[in-house]
Amino acid sequence: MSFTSLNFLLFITVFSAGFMALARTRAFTPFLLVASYIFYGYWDYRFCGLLALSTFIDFYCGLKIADSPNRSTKKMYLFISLGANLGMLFFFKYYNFFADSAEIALASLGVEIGRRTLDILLPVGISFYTFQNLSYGIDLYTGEVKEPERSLMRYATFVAFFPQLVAGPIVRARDLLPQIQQRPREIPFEERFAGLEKVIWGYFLKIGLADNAAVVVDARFHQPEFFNALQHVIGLVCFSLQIYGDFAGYSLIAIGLAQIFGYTMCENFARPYFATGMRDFWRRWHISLSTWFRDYLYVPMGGSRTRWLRIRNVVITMLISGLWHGANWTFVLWGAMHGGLMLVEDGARRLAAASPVRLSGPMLAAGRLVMIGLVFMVVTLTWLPFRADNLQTVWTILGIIGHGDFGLQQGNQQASTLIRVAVAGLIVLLVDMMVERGAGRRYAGTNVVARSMACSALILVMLLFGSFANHAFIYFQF
Amino acid sequence: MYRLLACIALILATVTAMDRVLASALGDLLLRSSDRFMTVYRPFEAEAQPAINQGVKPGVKPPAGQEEQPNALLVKAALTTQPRPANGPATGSAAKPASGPADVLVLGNSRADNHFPVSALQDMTCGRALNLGMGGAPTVLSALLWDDYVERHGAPRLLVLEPTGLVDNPHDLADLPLLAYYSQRIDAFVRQENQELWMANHAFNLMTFNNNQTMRLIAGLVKPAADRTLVGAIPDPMKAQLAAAPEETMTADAANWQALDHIITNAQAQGTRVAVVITPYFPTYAGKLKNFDAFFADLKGRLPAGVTVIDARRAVDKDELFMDALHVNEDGVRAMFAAMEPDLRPLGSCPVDAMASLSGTGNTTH
Repeated sequence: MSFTSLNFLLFITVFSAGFMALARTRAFTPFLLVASYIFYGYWDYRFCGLLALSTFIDFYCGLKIADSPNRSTKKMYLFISLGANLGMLFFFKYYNFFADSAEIALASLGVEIGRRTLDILLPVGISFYTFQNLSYGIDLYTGEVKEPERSLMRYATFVAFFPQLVAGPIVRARDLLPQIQQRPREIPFEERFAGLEKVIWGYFLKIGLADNAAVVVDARFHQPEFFNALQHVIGLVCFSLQIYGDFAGYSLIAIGLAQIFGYTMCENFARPYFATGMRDFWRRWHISLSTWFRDYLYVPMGGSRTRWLRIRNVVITMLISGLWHGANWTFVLWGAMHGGLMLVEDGARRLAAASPVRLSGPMLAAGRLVMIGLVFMVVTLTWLPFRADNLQTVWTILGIIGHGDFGLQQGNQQASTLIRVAVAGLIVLLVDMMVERGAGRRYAGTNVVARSMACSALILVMLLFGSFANHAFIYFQF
Repeated sequence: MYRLLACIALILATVTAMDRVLASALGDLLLRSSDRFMTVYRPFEAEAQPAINQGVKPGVKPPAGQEEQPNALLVKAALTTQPRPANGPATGSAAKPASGPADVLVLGNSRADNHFPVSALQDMTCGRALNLGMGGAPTVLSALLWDDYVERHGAPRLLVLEPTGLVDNPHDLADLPLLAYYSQRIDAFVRQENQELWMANHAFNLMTFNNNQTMRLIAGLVKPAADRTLVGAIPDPMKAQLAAAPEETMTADAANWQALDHIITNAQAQGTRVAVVITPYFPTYAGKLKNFDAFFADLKGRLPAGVTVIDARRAVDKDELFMDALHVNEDGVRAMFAAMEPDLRPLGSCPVDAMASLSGTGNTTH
């Protein structure tokens, strides 16, 4: 079920009551497991079967990897785990994409193979829990995780842990599994309250910013021909805000919920639109995924030991990252653009390092501001293929923008929605700017009653400006 | 955990209390805006302001020939001494507000909203006009607005009804939910159509104001509402897309037909002249509507006797006069009014000498 549904409100109320009654008992882990499966199965009960199968395979392989006396047997079980996980992911997420692409490629060569695609339902969050399972097997094999989990129930609870199951953060076994094993820790009130604040801020990002921006964006991508260059630029900026609000919002709700109940999860977003370069952007955007790719793909391929390896590995990693997001050439293009931009930045850094000019003081601050603006513009442009349903839409919108009609049309029915986006966007910008400047710690020391009032004010703004049309979270489809 | 629950309770209590206070203040504030919908619900004394030049854009010259028109305010003053039709129950009613109803009321969806600037209507009918066209509103919603208006202000002399809302989904609420704050009738309708929304709005009153209409009202507080005529021309890609679009069929739900019948019957019973004005369609789009002529022929056949039909569907045909498939732009509105003048002006209250030069042929009275 979605965090923004009324069903979830009911679910979390019942869960909280159960938590208060059972948290210190042995019944808590089974309770958390059942709750997580109910949460996940609410979309479609059939998804639970696949989740359970994936869990069982990795649990079994994990035991075998840990207990096998020799390296080759360990490797065999690692490959079974990798094969099973990637096989399931490939079948459910990529089969139709590759079958379609092959069909088109062969048709262009004059070979007709007929329609080979299947009517497959994509399980929600499969990319997330597959990566979580993969990291467990790999970590056991490499020794990052010393001991396998020997309780199927605890391992299943780790995989299905409901706050982060469907859209991350992608939590590593070494971080979350020990917390599942020890049951929820007793945490100070301040920490729980900080969790509640994260949840409320997450909802604001989703309902206040992302879902309002979605109205503007959807109209433009549904019928791109009906909008001029200015409106498409506005649409792209709105999508930048939408995807940030949507995904960072989900992550914050997940992290905040876990924190309320005594679990700690890694940060997933660190004000990415304040990045001063593409490398910096990827240190701030979807941190759990970018570090996953860094640790399990980029570094094992050789990392940046040589310039050539750096170029090759960045391109491969970003292309796979693009494909991870969706089975469509638009995502591959998005990944390629980011890979290319990172390599351009590498070149620019080398040139800057060789330059005798060194910025300092106000010039450095101004330079940082320029870079923040530049990175935002570039990232916003790369969101175009990410959002577009197909490459045709990408070219259409680029063509309209290139045409250069930046006239302001009167009677735009979305003006009111744009005002909502502007209001929410301004609040998010101010808060992120203050956190970026280190105000977070000072705020954490403020009186709880004052912070409660701030939460209330945020909720009131949400009631007045939020979009309650219950748009699904974008990353559910990944 | 209990301390956290206490904080949640504190937040909820604060939100609930502030919600009530802010919603009440916002409700009162919005009532003071110049928005046309607020005219329906505003206390009567505020309405005494003449709206005669409302919406005239600064610096925009009136169309040629209109400079010689008598000052509509003076015409209105002269006309108010004339007796209303004998069957008009609103006349002389004790409940009638001091300022009285508008002389011309416009109802319909966005095609009414964007095609009937009150300044143009006032020039043409020599009476005070109010446009209650609402974007995306099916005829069912127009009927609610009609009932609310007549109940509070009495019936207008002339009702201009753009009927295209017939084909809109009768369950769409468009911008109506905000008005539920001011109208029990609309509140009951919202409850009937969307129980979840109604409950949310009653749990948190601020949510009633969470819609685009509120933004327009707030804008109206800062700057009096201008005519909502559209500016711009239909882009070439849209023309191409319309040309390539598949054919469509116009269908109207029974609830919308009933609402149309209700408005017309009720208006006629109160002595209001009713003009059903079908405004222009972009020719390419009209060509894609399989039953374009049959649908409107059916509409005309359903209308009761005494209703004037002004069929301006083809009154504008140049591409550059359209904003999109369903809306003409500012120049298109001028062209539309010029074409409709012989039929529309006689329905107004202009002195006879002002119409002497006009040949009033072409309209159909059922």
